[in-house]
Amino acid sequence: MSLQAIKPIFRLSAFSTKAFTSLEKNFHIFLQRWFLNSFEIVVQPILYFVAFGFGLQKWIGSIDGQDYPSYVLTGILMATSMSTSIYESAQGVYQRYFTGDLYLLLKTCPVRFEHMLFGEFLWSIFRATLAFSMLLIIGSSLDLIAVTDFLPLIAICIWLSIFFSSLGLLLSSLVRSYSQVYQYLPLIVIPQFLFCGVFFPIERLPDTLARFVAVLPVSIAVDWARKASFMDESVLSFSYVFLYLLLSFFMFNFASKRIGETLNKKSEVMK
Amino acid sequence: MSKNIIEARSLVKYFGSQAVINGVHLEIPEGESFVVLGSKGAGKTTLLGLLANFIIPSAGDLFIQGQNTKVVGEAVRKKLGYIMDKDLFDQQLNVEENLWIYARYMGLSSSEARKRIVECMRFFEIADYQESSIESLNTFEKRCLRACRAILHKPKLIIVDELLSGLGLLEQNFLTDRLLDLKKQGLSIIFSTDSMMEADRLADRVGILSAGKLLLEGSPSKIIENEIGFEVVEFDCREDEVEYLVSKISSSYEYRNRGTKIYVYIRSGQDSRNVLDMISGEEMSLRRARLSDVVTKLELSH
Repeated sequence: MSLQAIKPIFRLSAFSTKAFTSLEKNFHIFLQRWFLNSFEIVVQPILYFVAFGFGLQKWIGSIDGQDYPSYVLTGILMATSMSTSIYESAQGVYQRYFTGDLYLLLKTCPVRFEHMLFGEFLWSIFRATLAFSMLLIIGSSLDLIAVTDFLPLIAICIWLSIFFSSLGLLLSSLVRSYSQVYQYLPLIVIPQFLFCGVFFPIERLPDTLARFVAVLPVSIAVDWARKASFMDESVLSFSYVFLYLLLSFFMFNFASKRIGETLNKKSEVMK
Repeated sequence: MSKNIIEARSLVKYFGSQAVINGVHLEIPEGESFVVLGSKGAGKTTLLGLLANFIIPSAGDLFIQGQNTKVVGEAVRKKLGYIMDKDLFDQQLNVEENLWIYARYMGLSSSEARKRIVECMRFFEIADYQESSIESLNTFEKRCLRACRAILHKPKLIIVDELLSGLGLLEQNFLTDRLLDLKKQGLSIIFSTDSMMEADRLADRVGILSAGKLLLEGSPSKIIENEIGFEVVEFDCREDEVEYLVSKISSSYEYRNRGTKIYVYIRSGQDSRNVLDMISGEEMSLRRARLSDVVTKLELSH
């Protein structure tokens, strides 16, 4: 790959205030059926929490000094952040930009597809944070999460959503059909949901698998969320956070450029 | 001297190896209405897409209000309203919301957008449909909505692609009247249509496009006069008569034929009665020359 080809990956061209219009539009559509939409994003995590947290509490009791419902809730919070953001960015973007030809309208406006995709990226982070916050409130009302932990937990949620929103965009830029989005998403989401410490400590896994799983973003987020303070974290742990942020930046730039180019080509053929 | 709202220099657009637009030069002064005519596949939609900065040219330059679109990029679209030949509406949003989001994309503030939506919906007489869903609108209402959306941001130029096709006569008249009102307000209009009647009403100048080339350009009356003349005699004959009639007519008149249909063009100073005498007995019509005759003549010349 030549330097010229790599260069656009470092561009910041998608970061524009115009992106907020696309965020605004998605938020507006969300608010039209706010109750149903809010219910939709929290119902699945609540079911998991009730089924595993309360269902298995009698047999498991506590892990690392934490009651099992509280232990599972922290994990489910992070898993929700992952799944909401990646599904929204991958599936939402594919549906809004690659099915139908509504995207053509954007080409009559003084905006670039990259700007709009940045808005979609922000929207998926926002939606994940919204689902996360609603679960936090439910957890707090059940005395499973202290209100004082809200801010650091939301910070971890945003970090995780940044990564998975970028990954979702990358996926929608690479797939060839809507059904492929559904084929690939579970491959990313389910393993992290099952093995990244949501339901049980990573250490219970075979050594090699545990070492691999420990560096995945959901494991890092779950680990951080269960600790009392960020001060306890090692430099290595922080470096993973920055590494994943950097990776998110590259994934987003690559995806938005690729989607932008694809849509530009497609729109000309449509004429 | 009036300034040009749009200036195209040697515009070329290739799709694959085929040049759909091939070296178009065009200058449209501010406040002028220019109608692009041409048969299907002539490249009208592609030309309009290029002029709207919707399609990137393979070669050539486009200036909108003196700004080179290559330099200014997508920001130039704020100066123009592009009415595409498709109903592009978000079905999840109602009429007003569709307009509001578009106005926001165009850079209008929320309050400015609300104000303009009311004004523009009144202008196109669709104010009653503010809360309606898109799917509840009929074809004509959707066309009005397309047009309404294109002027929300007060563009200096509107580019209109086939807005009238498939509409009834009254509906065509209504939209043409609205476009003429916009022209009176100082807007420049570039319009593509198959309807010659509307083209006649709208155009200060017309351009006739054929195979991606702008073959003729000028005021409708000048073009008709130069290319056709004064009147047209149009008639159908039997297949075995074509050769005989053509040989009789061709010595004195310009003509074109499509199979058994023959068009004879009568220049000023020529007498149409001579033609009528030559073809007596055939079913014929004698009428004033019009723009559609120019398009037909050019089509049949190729």
